[in-house]
This record gives sequence, structure tokens and C-alpha cells, in this order.
Amino acid sequence: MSMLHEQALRDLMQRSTADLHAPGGVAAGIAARHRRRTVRRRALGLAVTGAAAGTAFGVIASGAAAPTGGRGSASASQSGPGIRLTADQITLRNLSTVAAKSSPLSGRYVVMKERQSGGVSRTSVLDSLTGDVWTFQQGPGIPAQLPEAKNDSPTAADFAQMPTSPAALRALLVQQNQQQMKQFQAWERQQLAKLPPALAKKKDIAVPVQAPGLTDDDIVFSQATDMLWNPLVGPALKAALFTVLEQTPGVQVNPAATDADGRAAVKISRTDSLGETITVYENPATATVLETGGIGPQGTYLDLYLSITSTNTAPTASQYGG
Amino acid sequence: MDRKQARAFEEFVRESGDTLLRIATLLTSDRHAAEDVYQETLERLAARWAKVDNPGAFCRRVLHNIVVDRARSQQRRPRELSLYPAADSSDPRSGDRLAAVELRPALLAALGTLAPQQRAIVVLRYFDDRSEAEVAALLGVSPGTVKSTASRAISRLRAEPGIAELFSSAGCPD
Repeated sequence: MSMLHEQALRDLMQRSTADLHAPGGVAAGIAARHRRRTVRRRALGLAVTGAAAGTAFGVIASGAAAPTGGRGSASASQSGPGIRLTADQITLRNLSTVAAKSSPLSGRYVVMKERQSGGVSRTSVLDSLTGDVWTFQQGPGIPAQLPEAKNDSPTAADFAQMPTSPAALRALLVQQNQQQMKQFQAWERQQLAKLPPALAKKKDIAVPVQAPGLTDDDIVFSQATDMLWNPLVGPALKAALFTVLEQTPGVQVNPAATDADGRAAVKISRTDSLGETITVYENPATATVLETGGIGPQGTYLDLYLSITSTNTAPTASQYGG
Repeated sequence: MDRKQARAFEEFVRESGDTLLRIATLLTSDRHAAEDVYQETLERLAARWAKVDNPGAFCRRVLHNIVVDRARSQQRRPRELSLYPAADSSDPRSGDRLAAVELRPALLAALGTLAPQQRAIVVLRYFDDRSEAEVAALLGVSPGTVKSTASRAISRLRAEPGIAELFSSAGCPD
């Protein structure tokens, strides 16, 4: 077969589909539904016993004695076995102090404006009483309003019930992850049971459920940073989350960084056992999130947080182009 | 999936969605079926996101599997309703639209005469620009099968009345 024919077919296939574009918003809708299945119950029904908290504290204590890397290594190696803090730990401790002093939300609804990679502007409205989240976005080829996600976030009350002792909080984060994994696996088994047997046997669909290969420290960092962006997290819990990060090995801190918009920030990042690096930029003056991003085997993303405000008036869709 | 995973998933779809929808269109020869297959593929990707190493390869495999599965059950099941409003996925701003609209029916009809596996091999090999080895790995066949199937499929396509003239207009006289 001549190269010319291959090239002609390639050209025909490209030209005859060049005007087709994936409908916007589908991915966000699917992601929202898959999030809803697991996220809601994370805050509920999790009692942390003294024993569990004690065990976790033992792990942390040994972890905290180890340098967290970067500039911290030098100062840690000079100190004895005492409790001298590394520069990274001091920076996180300062953020924790700022967070503890911050004022709690005054209104029921929180309006969060973000700009995301791919040129998308997104406004999320969170109801602190119900955990419902509305999302509005504008960008190339994307419909303005995405589905309302019922109970997509824990409520402010759920967060307020979480422990603020670092050891107990760390234990809770690990426990939350286990619960989410169990829910996910149960849901996945249900889905597989619905497939025709011939399809369910196919390798790419019926992959056996495996341990994800993440350590407890990986999970703690991922869960803690997944809560830090949430404006329904109150001052005490947020302060405790920074303390948990301070005590988690492998966390890299740059106190004099700038985010993608050039704003002064504390950069907090960590690479997990599967090679994904999660980065959070925090405003050092307010301990609020400026940017979150991830780089890993599955791709990259970046979210910039432009403003977070709260109100007691239920926002209407038309305010955000919905 | 957690918030971070949801964001990475959305970002993957933002970058790869157009290509995946175009592959689905070439595999199904039907734009509405293509959107259904595309969305079902994304549903499966979302469900397994935490465990999928290579989302692009996963989607191509799943697209093909769904198309094969649908072809088998076509006589037994009525067409499912789309989960999303059937928006016109053809972009009127695109300068290529005229060319695409004119070419598409003939090409899709010709591709429709191929068996699902032949079609998948042709689409992945030429439209998606995968090597013979990559196509072989994606579809679970040998590289030799990819080579011979692609060759036979091209000959067959060139024999289709609607497409023979497109081949010659593309500068491939017999």
C-alpha cells in the first residue's frame, strides 16, 4: 500500500471531523456526580478513640524529628534529638497561628471565585448549612451553569465537630480515607455487577480492586490539603490542619513564593509515593488559599482562588450568568 | 473522587475531549451515538480514575469496547437517550466546517462497511497517529494483525464508490 493512500485517509479523517467539539460541561457534570458519592459522609460517624489518637501521635512524633526536606534539612541536622523546629515547620506554625486568629464566616452562603487552567472562570456557592454546592462557569465552549451538587461538601457543623488536636485530626484523616475507599469499592462492585458478563471480564474494566500504594503520610497530606481550600472549615480546624502538615514528613515549604498570579504566598508541596505532587499556595497574612495545583502521572491542573466572600442572601443563578 | 482528582479528570477531558469525540464519531459512523459512547467512556474513566495510569489509552480501549458491545446488542436494544442535551457539537465558527460537513457522510458511510476491529485499527493508526505497536497494545492484537488489517481496510475503503473519488481528489489517482 502506498504512503500516499495512508496520507490521503489520514487527511480525509481529519478534515471530516475537524468541526466536531466535545460538548462542554460534560466532564464537570460527571466529576460532580462521582464526587457526590464519596465526599459527603467523610465527616460523619467517625469516632476517634484515645487509643487510635495515641498510636497516630507516636507516628507523628517520629516523623516530626525527621527533617521535612529542603532548607529544613540543614537546621535539623545541627539540632540534637530535642524539639527544635526547622524553618519549614516554623513557617507552617506561623500560618497555623494566623488561621487560629482569623474570623469565622458571617453569612450562610460562601461565594468563591476561581480561575482554572484552560481559561475557565468558575464561581462556586457553598451552603454552609446543607453542604450543597452550586457551580457556575464561563469559558470556551462551556455552558454557564453546571448541575447543583447536593451535599457535595461537609457542612460547617460537620467541620466544627472534627477534632483539633493534631494527633486525633491526623487519625481522622486516615480513617476518612479508608471509609471513602470502602464506599468507592462498594459502589464499583455495584457498577461491575450491572455490566454484561462479557464486558465485565475485559481487563480494562474489571481491574481488581487494589491497595492504592499510598502511605499514611501521603493520605494525610492529600486529605488535609483537600480540606484547606474549603471555606466552611473554621479557624480552629484550619489551624489544626496546618499543624498536621507541620508534623507530616516530606512536606516542602517555601515562605517567600509567588503564585501564578504573582501574589506573595507560602508554597506548601509534597510528592506522594505514586509520583503526584500536590501544591498549595497560602496567603501568609490571612492563611487563606490562593492557588492549588497538581502534577502527576494522570496530568496537571491549576486553580487560582480570586475571592472568597460570604452572604446571608441566597445567591441567584442570574448573578453568575447561570 | 476527591476534589483534586475531579480537577485532574476535568483537565484531561478539556485537553483530550475533542479528539476522543472525533475518534468515537469515526468508530460509530453516527454523531449521536458517538456522543453517547463518548459520555459513557468518560463515566467509566471517572469511576476508575484513581486506578487508571494512562487515561488516554484507557479511553481509546473503552471507546472501542463500547462500540463492539453496542454493535453486538444493536438488534436487541433500542437506542438509549443521551444523558445530556444533544447540543450540536459541530462548531459553526470553525473555518473547516464546510469541508467537514461535505466530506463526513461519505467517509462515515465507507467506514461503516468495515468490521468494528478493522475500523478501530484504521482510526487509531491513521486518525490518531498511533504506531502499529501502539495500536496492537491498545486493542490486544499482534502488530502483524494491525499491519495487514490496515492494508486490507484501505484497499476496501478505496473500492467504496463514495470514497474513491475523495481519494483521487486528495491526490491519489489509481
